Amino acid sequence: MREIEITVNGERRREAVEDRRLLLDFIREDLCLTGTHAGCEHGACGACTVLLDGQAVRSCLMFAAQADGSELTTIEGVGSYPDRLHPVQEGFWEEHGLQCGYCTPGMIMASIDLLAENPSPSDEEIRERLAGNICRCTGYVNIVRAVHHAAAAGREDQS
Amino acid sequence: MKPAQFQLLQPTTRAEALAVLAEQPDETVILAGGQSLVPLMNMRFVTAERILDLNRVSGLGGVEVRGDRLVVGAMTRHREAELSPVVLDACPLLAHAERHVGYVSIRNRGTVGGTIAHADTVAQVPCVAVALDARIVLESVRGRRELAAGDFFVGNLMNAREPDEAVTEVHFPVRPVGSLFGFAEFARKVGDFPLVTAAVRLEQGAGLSRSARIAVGGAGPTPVRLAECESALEGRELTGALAEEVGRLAAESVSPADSPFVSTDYRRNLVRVVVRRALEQALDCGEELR
Amino acid sequence: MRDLSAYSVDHGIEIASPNMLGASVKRVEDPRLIGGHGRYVTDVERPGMLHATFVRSPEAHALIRAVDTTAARELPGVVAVFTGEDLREATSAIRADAGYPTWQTSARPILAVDRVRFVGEPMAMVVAVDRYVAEDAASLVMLDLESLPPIMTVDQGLAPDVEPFHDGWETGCYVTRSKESGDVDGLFAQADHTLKLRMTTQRYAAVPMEGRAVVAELDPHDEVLTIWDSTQVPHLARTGISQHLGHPEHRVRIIAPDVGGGFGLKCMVFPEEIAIPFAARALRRPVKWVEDRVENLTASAHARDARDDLEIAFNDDGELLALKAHVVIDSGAYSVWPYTASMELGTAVNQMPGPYRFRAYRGEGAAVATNKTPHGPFRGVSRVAATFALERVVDEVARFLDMDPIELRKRNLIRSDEFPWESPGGYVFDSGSYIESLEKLAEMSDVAELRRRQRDLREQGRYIGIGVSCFNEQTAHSFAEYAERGTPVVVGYDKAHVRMDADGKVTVFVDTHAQGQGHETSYAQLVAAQLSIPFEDVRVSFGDTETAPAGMGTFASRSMAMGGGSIQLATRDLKAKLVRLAAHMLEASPEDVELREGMFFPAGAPARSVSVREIARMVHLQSNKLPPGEDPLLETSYSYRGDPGTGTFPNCAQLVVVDVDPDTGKVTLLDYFVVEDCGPVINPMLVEGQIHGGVAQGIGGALFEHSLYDEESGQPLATTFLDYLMPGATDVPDIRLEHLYTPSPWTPGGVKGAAEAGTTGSPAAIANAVADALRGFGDVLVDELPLTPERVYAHILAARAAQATPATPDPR
Repeated sequence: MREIEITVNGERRREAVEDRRLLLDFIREDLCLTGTHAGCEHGACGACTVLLDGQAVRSCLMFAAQADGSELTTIEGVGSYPDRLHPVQEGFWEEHGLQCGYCTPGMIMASIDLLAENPSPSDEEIRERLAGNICRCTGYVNIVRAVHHAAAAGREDQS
Repeated sequence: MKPAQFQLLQPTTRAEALAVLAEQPDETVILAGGQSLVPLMNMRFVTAERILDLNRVSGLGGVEVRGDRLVVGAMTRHREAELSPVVLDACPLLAHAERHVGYVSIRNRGTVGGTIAHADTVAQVPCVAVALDARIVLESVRGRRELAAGDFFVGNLMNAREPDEAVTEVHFPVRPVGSLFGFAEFARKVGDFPLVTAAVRLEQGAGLSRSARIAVGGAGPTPVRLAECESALEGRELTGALAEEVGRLAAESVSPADSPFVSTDYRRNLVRVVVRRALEQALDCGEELR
Repeated sequence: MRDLSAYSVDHGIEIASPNMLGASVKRVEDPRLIGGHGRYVTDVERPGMLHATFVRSPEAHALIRAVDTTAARELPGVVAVFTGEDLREATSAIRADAGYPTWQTSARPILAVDRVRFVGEPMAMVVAVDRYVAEDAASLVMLDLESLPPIMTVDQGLAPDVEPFHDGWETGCYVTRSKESGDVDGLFAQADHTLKLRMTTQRYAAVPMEGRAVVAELDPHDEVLTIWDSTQVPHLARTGISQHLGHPEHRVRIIAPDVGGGFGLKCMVFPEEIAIPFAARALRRPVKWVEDRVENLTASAHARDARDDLEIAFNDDGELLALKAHVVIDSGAYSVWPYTASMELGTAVNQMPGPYRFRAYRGEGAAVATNKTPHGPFRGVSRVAATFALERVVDEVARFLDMDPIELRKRNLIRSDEFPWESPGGYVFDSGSYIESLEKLAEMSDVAELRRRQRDLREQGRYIGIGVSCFNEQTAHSFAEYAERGTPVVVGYDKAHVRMDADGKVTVFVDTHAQGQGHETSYAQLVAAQLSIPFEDVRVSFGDTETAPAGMGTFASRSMAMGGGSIQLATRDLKAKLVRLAAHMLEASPEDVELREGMFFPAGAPARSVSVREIARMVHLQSNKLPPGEDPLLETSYSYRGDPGTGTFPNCAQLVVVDVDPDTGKVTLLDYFVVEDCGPVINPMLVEGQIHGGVAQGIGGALFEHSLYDEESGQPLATTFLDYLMPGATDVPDIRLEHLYTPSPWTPGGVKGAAEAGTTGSPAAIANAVADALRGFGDVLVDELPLTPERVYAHILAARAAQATPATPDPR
């Protein structure tokens, strides 16, 4: 076991972890932030996507100890109902971009990462960027619309 | 699907890292970006007493041009190699190939040195390394040596690294002025592992090709240079027809293994296609230069 | 003969707020899910909870000599290790028997005993302080197995000298089926042409993003076993677990919280759902098991895997006369509870004639046991493969006759004035818009323009294909379907309980759970529409057997007709009471009371009114004011049966445009059009979501997904997402969708099932489009899924070499 210190959604946390503990399990079980989901545990589905120092990463492919000293943002830190929803969350709600909701947190984190880099993505850019996040429910049609919705809201905020 | 027990070692300097590795080289597995290794650990296909994490070692990342070489630190993330203006200028073939590596969230963590050391025959960067005759820098407490990429890859997921050595840098030759390049792959899905990759670079004089380099990955246990194809290009004008001809030659010169989802014949066909497409890209970039 | 005299049923439902129906109300589920506050079984934490993992068979077929758990037990952190022997007495093996005379039974121990029959079959269960330690210990369990040759193909299983697969078997099949209607042989003899083709649909799987998951805890206070279960069917799960665990149903409580996708996988009861509560009861501590992706892909259930030999008789003018079908299903190693290994076969044999006016039909087939993962339900059970087979054959007939495939279909589809239609497969089609859907599809896709574009692109060396499929399908099955199968559970009703509290707000309790369908929203719309109260004033509760009425749960597109039907009828009865009480308060007669915007008033005198809320307050808090004969109770229950008929039959037509890469055989979808008719729609946004997602799953089956096995060793080859390819955002095109709204004459509100149409029709449409594109290369028969690049490229080579066997009808 070792002590690590991570800033999670703006809050500093010290926890003891086993060396082999996956960041995913650390987030879910030690930090009790269960919005980040395990979908495959081999880096292929994107359900566990979080932002580590501002970049989208797969939390199933890192050990918690490696995140020592980092800043971590999970879905719980993005925004919440009723009055603090992130535009991407709003977009998913407005455009019916989710059904069972299991892939949704990872999908939202990947979308936030995309829009941070490209505030006005095309359909193709959205699809390409989200190709590594698998959704079994929606057929992605409304997810693409949701990202456009969020992008438009972001542009409105700018103007 | 959880990894077996191990001790995570996180040195912060190169010397420390090599010393840690030298302690018990056979019981130590090196962790770079982890995007290939950690899945294997989660499935317990890889277990080790000690995991040497290079992520905190200073000075292992970053890109710079030294003379005629683009020096890429082993811990340079794929995403940096993809977007770096230095890489784009000095070795655009690498930058171009990087766009095909997994997904952005994989490229944010995965490293150039890691994919080289992992030595997957279908991985994009090893194919580029073989095509360009990149030099793999290996360091240990015993010293430092360089291996040509073609000598470094000895089998699928197998390399010529000694257990106490770590890949610390990868040196790609700086692109000769006016040289043409192309990278193509065939994957069943965007971001999926490709079945076959092809990397091409050639120079042109008076409209004729020379010093062509062609490598394909996925057609054998390691990426390989295709000498016959390279000579077929020598002194000839690169055209669509020639690209097709060289593609056919490439297909004839490889003997990929049969696998459950992909037959030998089909993979051979893919070699034809990706080599042709890589050459067509070279042709396109030639036109851009004009 | 069925009594169809009640062709049109008046349920006496009056809609007071029609604007609540057909409205794309935003989902009430979403705020928690987009914020990361969903509650899935995998999120459940209990004090002192232990974690389990399973040791699974590494072999497809073997005798168990020994399972040595000594080393595993000694590992620190391990609390218990159980083997098949340990569970043998305390649990009963799963038997799911159908009632057909040809049925042969299979007994599946909760943990394998004596023999293992597929790779992934649970052999031992390790319980430890966390999942990491449990997996450490699992790797220390020593298995001593004596390998036996596996049955890996249906042909091996059909061989007359096959070894008994299960005890006492005389053939290699769980069941064989046959049915016949009309003069099949006569019509085949007189037809201008006949055509016989084999169509093969591969084995693939439902693959919800959340795998199965179970947490069980025994409460020493009352010996109630609470089981958090990622299931579509809480009450069926309770029955199944209770029965196999020997724990009485009234002391088993199932909680199915948010469920991360089901698609049929989670409407069965699996051994793990019995083993985990067993461990919790034995150890008197909470135990959790979360299926990982490798387990999900290899050891839950697979689906499809159908080989359909179809023979069709038709005339020169395009009239389809008669159909023969021989269906062989690879049903895997065990019969699944409660649907049995007869499910895919039985439905396929019934479904095969589709929406066409065949005059005669002979359907037969077999469900064959193999040493593969058991075959279970997955969205579009039987219809996906059957629609692929039939629609491919119909396209080949059109091609032979040189007729437009849409025209050929229109000529043979059942007309909308011909319902109810008794299909030769044994179904009663309630209503539909088969021809109108195709016409609308042709119009919205501008198929003539697409054909022009196809010709232009062909000149540029591109191979574009246009493919169509149309079909109807059984949804919201009534008793008839399961009674025919003789399954342990005869599905065909569902229940709702509606309660109004003192503040006039309503809670609806129902068993038809949601795994993404949005029932918390659409069900609330149904209630708000009748009671004319704000949508926000209705809460929908399901997923807990302590509060939900016992029912059959969610599968087979039954939730809106069955769950929604029972909600509508319970609400109708609640409203009748509100009307009586309003009449009393307004001193009017009930017939004269009108309801608008939550207010009751006498007809023609809106100035005098009483609100729903005032009535609720009186009933609950001032019941002394109730008129004689009225109870202080605002709760109603209804159990809705889906009679008459054999379910509701939505219909759908799809058109897809594909591009085939002549170099690699890779198929790219360019355009996708769907016309669906599932009757009146409660929430169009939700129905569209169902269609989108359904199409995507069909695309997966058409192009990517394959639960492939090595036939020598019996090893599964697609064990991770690296080999089991799921369609991603770049693989599914934008989908354009239009609706028709033909009501069912039987169900409340005329609703039909909506969830499966997207999946059912897409492999057929895509295969037809690929076949159309391949015609640019020459004669070739597209007859097997998935259409991987390699398979399509092989077709291209064969066509080019002119070695392909074209679909040539027998000359007459």
